[in-house]
Amino acid sequence: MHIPDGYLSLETTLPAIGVMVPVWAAALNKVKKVLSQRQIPLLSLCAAFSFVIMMFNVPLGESSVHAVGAVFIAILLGPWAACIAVSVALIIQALVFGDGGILAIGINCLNMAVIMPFSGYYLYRLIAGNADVLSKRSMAGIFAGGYVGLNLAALATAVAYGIQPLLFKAADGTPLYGYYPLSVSVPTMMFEHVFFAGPIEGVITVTAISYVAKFAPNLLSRIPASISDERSLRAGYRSLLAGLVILIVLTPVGLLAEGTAWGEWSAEEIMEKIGFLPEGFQRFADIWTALIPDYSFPGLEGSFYLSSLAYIASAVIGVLLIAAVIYLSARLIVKNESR
Amino acid sequence: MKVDENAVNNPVGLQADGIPAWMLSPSKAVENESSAINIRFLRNSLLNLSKLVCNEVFSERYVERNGLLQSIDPRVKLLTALFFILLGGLTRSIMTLLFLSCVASMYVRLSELSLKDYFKRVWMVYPLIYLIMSVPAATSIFIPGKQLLYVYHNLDVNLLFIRLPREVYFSYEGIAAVIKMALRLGVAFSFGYILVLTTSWSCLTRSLTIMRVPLLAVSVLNMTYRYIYVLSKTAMEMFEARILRTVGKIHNKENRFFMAGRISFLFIKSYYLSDEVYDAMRCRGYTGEPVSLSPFALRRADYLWMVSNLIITLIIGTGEVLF
Amino acid sequence: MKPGKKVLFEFAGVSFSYTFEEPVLRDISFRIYAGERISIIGVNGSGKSTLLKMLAGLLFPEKGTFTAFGAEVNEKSFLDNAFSKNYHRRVGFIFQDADVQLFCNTVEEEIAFGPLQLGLPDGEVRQRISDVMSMLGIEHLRKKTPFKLSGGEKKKVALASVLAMNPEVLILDEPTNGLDPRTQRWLVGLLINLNKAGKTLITSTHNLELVQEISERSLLLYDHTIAADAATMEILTDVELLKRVNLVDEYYHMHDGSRHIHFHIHNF
Repeated sequence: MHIPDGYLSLETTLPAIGVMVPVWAAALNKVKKVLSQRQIPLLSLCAAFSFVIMMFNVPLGESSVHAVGAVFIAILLGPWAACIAVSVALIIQALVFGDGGILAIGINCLNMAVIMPFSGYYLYRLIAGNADVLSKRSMAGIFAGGYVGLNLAALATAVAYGIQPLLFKAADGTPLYGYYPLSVSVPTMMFEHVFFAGPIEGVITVTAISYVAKFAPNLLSRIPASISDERSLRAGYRSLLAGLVILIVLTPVGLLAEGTAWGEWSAEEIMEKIGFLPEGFQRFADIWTALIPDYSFPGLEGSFYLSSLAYIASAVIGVLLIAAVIYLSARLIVKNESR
Repeated sequence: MKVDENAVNNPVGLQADGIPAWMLSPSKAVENESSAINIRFLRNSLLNLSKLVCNEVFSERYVERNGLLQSIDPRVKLLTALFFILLGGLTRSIMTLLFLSCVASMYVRLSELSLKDYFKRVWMVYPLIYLIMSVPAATSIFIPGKQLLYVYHNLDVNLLFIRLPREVYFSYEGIAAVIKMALRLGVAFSFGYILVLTTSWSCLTRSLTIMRVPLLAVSVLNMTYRYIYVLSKTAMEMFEARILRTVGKIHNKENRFFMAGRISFLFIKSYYLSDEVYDAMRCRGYTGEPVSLSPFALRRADYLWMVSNLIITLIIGTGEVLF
Repeated sequence: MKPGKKVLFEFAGVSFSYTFEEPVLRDISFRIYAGERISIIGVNGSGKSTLLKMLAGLLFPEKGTFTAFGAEVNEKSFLDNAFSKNYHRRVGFIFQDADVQLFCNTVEEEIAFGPLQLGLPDGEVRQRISDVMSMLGIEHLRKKTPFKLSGGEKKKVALASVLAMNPEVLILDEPTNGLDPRTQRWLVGLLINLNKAGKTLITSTHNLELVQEISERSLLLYDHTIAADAATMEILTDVELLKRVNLVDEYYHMHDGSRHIHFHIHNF
């Protein structure tokens, strides 16, 4: 369920990060109030725990699935702590394993560290109410929380994938980023999670919580539910909602911004937008044009093979130029260092 | 010789040293079928964990070397990596993506990292996987356009109640889109790879402060890394012990109970360990605020590096603008 | 070193139990004087670690009073950050398990943590780090990751990080556990030097060979209470007492009152 970089447009990944920032800030604040001084070691250990259990393979017939455990942590420590623990685990996974992109960290956290623990936790509270943890009602609630939480996260992931070809297209309709539409991404992801990964996550969460209830019951009572008053609940969610609204608003804006993608303007377009052309840009562009006009050599246009040769030649020259710059600066830098 | 009273009075047949009789003779061989399949998930988990512990990033093997990127200020590295990843995400030109890959490869080479490992781990994993997964996407089913290579054409068949498309071909646009995707993946992963292999975790987390990340979050990120090491070792020991004790067939349900048990045990251990760490921190004067030694200072090398990257960007940029 | 008569710590009728469990310490009373070298001995589970943690300010008496540096100390006192920092500055604690105590990612950070928490300026912190590292011979470990070091190196780093705060009192919980013989010898030598320099030394151990070198006075814990409070040699030569508290078995003996105790199996 980890989304890599490159598959989602920047119009998706960047706003997702923008949404997560206030959520993380709110989470840190909430947890601080409940845990006060103990937060650094406790959050770190829970994040480490979350990271490690994602390495576990849970048997499923002949193969296995990975546990996520977001709802498990949410039930024991509250959804805000779960948000931080899972987010930290996801960030480290992205950096150490490349499991999930770096720019995509925002959206991955939104799916697995926000949607999953919060929906799972509140569904559990809804179903289980004040019943004793080991009662049937509570067990049903935990299972439902784990199952639904995971599936909602999967759905969100599928939607994120699926809207890419819908929203981010070039002028001729070719998708700029992801190309499998909703009609493909949703069934694929949901089938796997509704019938296989979901039930496993539910079962594992229930069993694990019941073990904790049996062997370390003080852990259940010791940690107060972090949302006990309605006011703080609403305050926390306001930031979350605000972020989601921003996300929804920005997406159609991305649709409206037709024409060339941000950053790829030609000289004329820049002139229109800024009103003047940055001096250096113009000079440099002219020099470059003088050397190798339009990535091809004069006199070679027309024939498909020749112009592709020219294309390749331009590429090679470009690479050599870049290489020269890098090597030169590397020599200077390393010489600097060996003092 | 002293007479052991236990041996006289004990009806179970203990010897003088208190060892039960069945332990004094060799055990019988087990006749059940092999349980290789049933413990595959255990072995896989163990493999994942050991890959983690021995992971290049965790061992920080390359951080000490005297390569190019090891000499650059971590904050500059972080911002540069993010910048190139963003660039890769923005661009539509395959050329630019190729250039960026070249830049990444050169940085790999100059920082004394193994190019072979780099290709294997960065390009041969996710980009390749996505390339394969995207083969259908390159066809006209998803991305119609200029025909390049026909799979079939002029077909008039109904499969059940789905009407198969009349013709299916690999389109020029489709292939370009798929290749771009794989390249973007690779480029993004590349710069992350370089950043993480040449920077120690503490420096990396500390450099986040340049992006206004609060010291509290940095401290949590920092400490998590350290305790991943401890917890994964604990988990590995659990799995090793279980594998060694597994003889004969076990049902999947039992295995699931076992996994749930390990998960809850690990959580309980994490919780109590955090208590102990908190005590240890308190003993060193901790009262809730994170602290850190003064950060880094920019040197001439860093400025040189930034300038050279700027030049590269300009080269790429103008090339793209013109193309 | 002859201990002065200044009382650093005093336990008066202290009892303690973890919640819902049996009492770990019952009616403990004793005094510790400045500059002393004292050991707390007893079998595993006799409450040694709990006692040390109380001295370190991590746990507090349920019954009775604990007085440190002339003032009574309880949970409330530590709610004041300044008090807490000062107390921990004066009383350094080395945990039994190094993994718990080393929570930073480089040795340098680890040693810096304490002084930084005390609010010392960066320059002074760096100075202390260098001084303490050269004193313990671990300068080569500066950029290394503490949790990947060997047992002996971890111990040195733990010591360094506590010594950097310049405590008056050093409390060590089973300091030689897991150390090879050479490192054990080095550690004992260092601790004795630190005591000569004026630091009060409180160690807990069940290693009877170590006890005679590292302390002049011993507190013997048995059945959650103090079974003996006397000079170390006195306790070690009282074989009946040692047998009664299960510290030794019937084959333990000292040869001709010499300072070497070793175990060997007599003929069967």
